Amino acid sequence: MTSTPSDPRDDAALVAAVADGDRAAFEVLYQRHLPWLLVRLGRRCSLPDLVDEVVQDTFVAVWRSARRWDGRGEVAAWIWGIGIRRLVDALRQRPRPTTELVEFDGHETSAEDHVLLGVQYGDVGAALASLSPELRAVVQATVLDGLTTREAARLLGIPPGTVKTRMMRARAQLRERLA
Amino acid sequence: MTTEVDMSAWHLEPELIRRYVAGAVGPELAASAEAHLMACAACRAALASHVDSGRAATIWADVVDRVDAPRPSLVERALVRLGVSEATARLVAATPTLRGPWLAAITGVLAFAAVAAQSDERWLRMFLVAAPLAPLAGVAVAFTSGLDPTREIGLATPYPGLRLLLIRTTAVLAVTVPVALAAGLALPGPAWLAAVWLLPAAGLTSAALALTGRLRPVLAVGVIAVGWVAVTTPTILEGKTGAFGGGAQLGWLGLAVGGVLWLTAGRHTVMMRLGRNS
Repeated sequence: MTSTPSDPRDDAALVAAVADGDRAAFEVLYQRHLPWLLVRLGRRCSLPDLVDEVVQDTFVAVWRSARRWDGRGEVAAWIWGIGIRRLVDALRQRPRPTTELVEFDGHETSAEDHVLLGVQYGDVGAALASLSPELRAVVQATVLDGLTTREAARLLGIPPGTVKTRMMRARAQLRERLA
Repeated sequence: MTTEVDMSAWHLEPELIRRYVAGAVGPELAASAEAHLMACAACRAALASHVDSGRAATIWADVVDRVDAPRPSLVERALVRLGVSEATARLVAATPTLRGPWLAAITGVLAFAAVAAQSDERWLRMFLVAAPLAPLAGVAVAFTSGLDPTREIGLATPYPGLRLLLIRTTAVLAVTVPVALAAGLALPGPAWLAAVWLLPAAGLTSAALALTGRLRPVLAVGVIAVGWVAVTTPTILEGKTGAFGGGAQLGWLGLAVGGVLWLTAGRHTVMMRLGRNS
């Protein structure tokens, strides 16, 4: 596990080999896809131990269900789909942390600044930036992470109905900014 | 795929990757970086050097452990979900009677008896003789050394013999009794006919278990089964159902309770008997 062997096979070939029980292919796949999965899931869950568990679950699932991969699209996207759903399940089973966030050491620009930026540049990224953090989280979970309303609700800890209304509001705001 | 050219030409800058891993970029930039990472193997590889290799190795070791471990059977997983401890679940799942062929055999025999009973009243009564044998046969199979996959492990494990006997028997009864009951309900006679053999079955099983203090389980079950058939068949064929009457039922209940008491008293010898070749 110390060296990173450079395997000439591409991801799709590796998944096909994993489906046939090729352990070496599985290890290469793991080494290629663990880092970004760890970082990306880490941005959605602040408990490193839980992220490690979810990543472990994800790769066990990759090993067991490799033959069910339909061969379309990116392998990374398939792994992400498994990983984010495992994270949602893990968060559902675990009680929400009750400690409040008392300090925030990043700096967040004010909502007005966001709006001004959005007006100034008028592109999608800035339009997204103009949304309030609540609406943006919903857009992120549903549009960018590819979760269903129900899954997004579990990830964010809000009722599914709220996800829907926030998504509607976000869509309306984005349409206005991009018009 | 018109974006193919752009994707291969454009890459995340090293500084952006570093800040993304550190969680220092805003949501819009992160979303755009993530979208690119999904499609670009080169940038994924560039990101890898920022991740703690010790953490990766630890997770890999856990993944390998789980991938190597044999997957518990469906029965086992269901039992664990119901709150049964993992060790007990494994023990129950390894019981030969609960494996497909034996279960199929018992079900087949009883189904045949139930079908035969439709045609002739004598067969109907014979069902009463056959039904208690189903759980008994199940118990015998559960302890036949050639069939029990856990026998050698069992011999070497300091596990209470009585507990093993009772867990296995409970599992066998939980499966065979409903099968026999279902077959009984398919009979043309009165409804009580479906249930009237239950106490005799309990009595016989209990007696057979009690005998395991003296005999090997298979032999104990054999003695009881032969005795049961020899005593009941002639009277049943004459049309007498005395063995299933009200007084007799109390007797069977007494036998069941007595057998369990006897078994508890002689629990120290059970282990030795289970360990003998049969």
